[in-house]
Amino acid sequence: MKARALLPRPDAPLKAESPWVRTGRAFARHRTALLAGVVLGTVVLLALLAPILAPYPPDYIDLTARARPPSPEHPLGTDRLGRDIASRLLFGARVSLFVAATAVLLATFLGTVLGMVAGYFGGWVDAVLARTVDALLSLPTFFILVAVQSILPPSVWNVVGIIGLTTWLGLARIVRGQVLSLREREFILAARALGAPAGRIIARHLLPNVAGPVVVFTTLGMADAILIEAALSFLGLGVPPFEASWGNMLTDGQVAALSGAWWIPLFPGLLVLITALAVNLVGDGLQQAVFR
Amino acid sequence: MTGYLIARVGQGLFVLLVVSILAFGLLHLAPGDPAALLYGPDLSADELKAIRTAWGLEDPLPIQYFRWLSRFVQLDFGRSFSDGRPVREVILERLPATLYLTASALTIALGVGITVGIISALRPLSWLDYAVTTLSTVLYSAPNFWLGLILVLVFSVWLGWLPSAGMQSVRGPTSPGDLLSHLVLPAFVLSLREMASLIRYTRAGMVDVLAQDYIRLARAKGLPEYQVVLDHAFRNAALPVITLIGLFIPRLVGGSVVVETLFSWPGLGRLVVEAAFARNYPVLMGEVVLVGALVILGSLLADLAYAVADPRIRYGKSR
Repeated sequence: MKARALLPRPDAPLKAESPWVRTGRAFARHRTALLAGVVLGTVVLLALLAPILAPYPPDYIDLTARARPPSPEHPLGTDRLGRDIASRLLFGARVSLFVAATAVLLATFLGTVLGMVAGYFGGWVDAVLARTVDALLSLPTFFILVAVQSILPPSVWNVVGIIGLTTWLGLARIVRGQVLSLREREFILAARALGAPAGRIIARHLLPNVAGPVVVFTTLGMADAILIEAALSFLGLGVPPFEASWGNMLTDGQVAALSGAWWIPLFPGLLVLITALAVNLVGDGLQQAVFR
Repeated sequence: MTGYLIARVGQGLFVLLVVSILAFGLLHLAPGDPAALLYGPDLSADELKAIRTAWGLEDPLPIQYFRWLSRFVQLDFGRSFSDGRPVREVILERLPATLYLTASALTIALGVGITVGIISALRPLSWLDYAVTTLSTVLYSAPNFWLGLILVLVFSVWLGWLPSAGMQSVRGPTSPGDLLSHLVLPAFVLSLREMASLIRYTRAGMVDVLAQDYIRLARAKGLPEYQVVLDHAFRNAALPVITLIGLFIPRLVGGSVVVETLFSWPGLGRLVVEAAFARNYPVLMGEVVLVGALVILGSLLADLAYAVADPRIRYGKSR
């Protein structure tokens, strides 16, 4: 009788809190990260609403108002062709965020799949992959980015591809490490003993267990992708020059800065900084929530 | 140690081989026929074919690759498309500028990053520590070339204290002071991202070490605080920091591409951008492989320095 009293009531809810809910709660306690999330959401919203919010079309050239400082008509001034900087920033946000987000998705896919395959199968597959990652990490990637971009025709998709193909290395390394320890656990042994094929074990049993680190590193990678896009476009090797992107606006800003037109380089760079900072802070918050 | 060294050098050579295959593939994917490029459009298709045969461009690709490679290992990288000079000469001419720049940036990043990291760790969770952590996060998230632009605007355009571009004044004598004044802004800008990582790593390492018992013992013995911090704590906290240097070298050299372009610094980073725009493939390929080799060598030296700094490190043997 006494022993029975210690047991939970038979109708008590059995469901434990899911790891996602637990992580979400931990993240919400992190004030800075939450604030950064709001900032990031605002930037995304501004980009989505660009056609409604922008006072001018992004490519509208007013040759009578070239390189004007901020004024009521042009709240952030105009560039050297007389285009409204605020409008270009809003439309540029779409391009820059799109490139960064798509590139990161590609990198996440490559890093997760290759990392899991290497970790799970081990042996020569693992050796080849681990050595490749080490090798690529030891090279000055930016030199290679520039060289490859020079033979490709300018297009947004090439920028996405080239950033995605060069930024998966860190993630692959981390996922591989996680899988190496996970594959020795009993639940994997059980799945294997029940005859589950490798593909199923990877997708159903390993993937959910590496999801935390993957989410964290995807977020942090997004900040890097934003910075790489800005740098490539700044060099004139990124997004085609006629499209408004934050990096392209900074190219124009370099010449403008020498003539003292501070508003032309200031605002696009500030927006890159704010966005990358917000992404990094969200990433830090997630990291603390996931790896407590 | 010797075994480790051989393995590392072997790995480096393997990487370079792969890079060279990619570089060669790229060279052949690149649009444009070198024969037509050099002789102009006046030749007929048959004449072009004759030239291509004479140059070996009609041979199977693997044969062309090995021919290219055998010249490459003899440091014969071909001739620049733009002025016909040997690529080796063009690259060697630009090498010193990049060495000055990256070495200065590394020095600044180490000096400032470690000092600020230690100071921040001495009073963890103070307002100073908080400010330093915030600043390093901001620096890490900022596009360094944009910070460079703003610094040029302030120090060159408005205050007129520092030159905004180049490596020496057009007029006037070249003196070490002149070079230094040109070097300050680009080197500082290039160092910022690495400085930010160093602040974070040094701070984290020092906070851990300073909380340990042997530090309390050192203080209890009555050692002066600077000796406790620098001799006892930092020596141990510095070790993981040294491993970072090997990682910094590829990042600094990669970063030099944007910084050199911004400051018109006549180094390898700017050369690669110039070559990319001019579709000067021999220069591009020579640079990618050669800079790759230098960076791999630099990282290897940094890792060896780590073994020298910490006698507990024994590469290639399990402890």
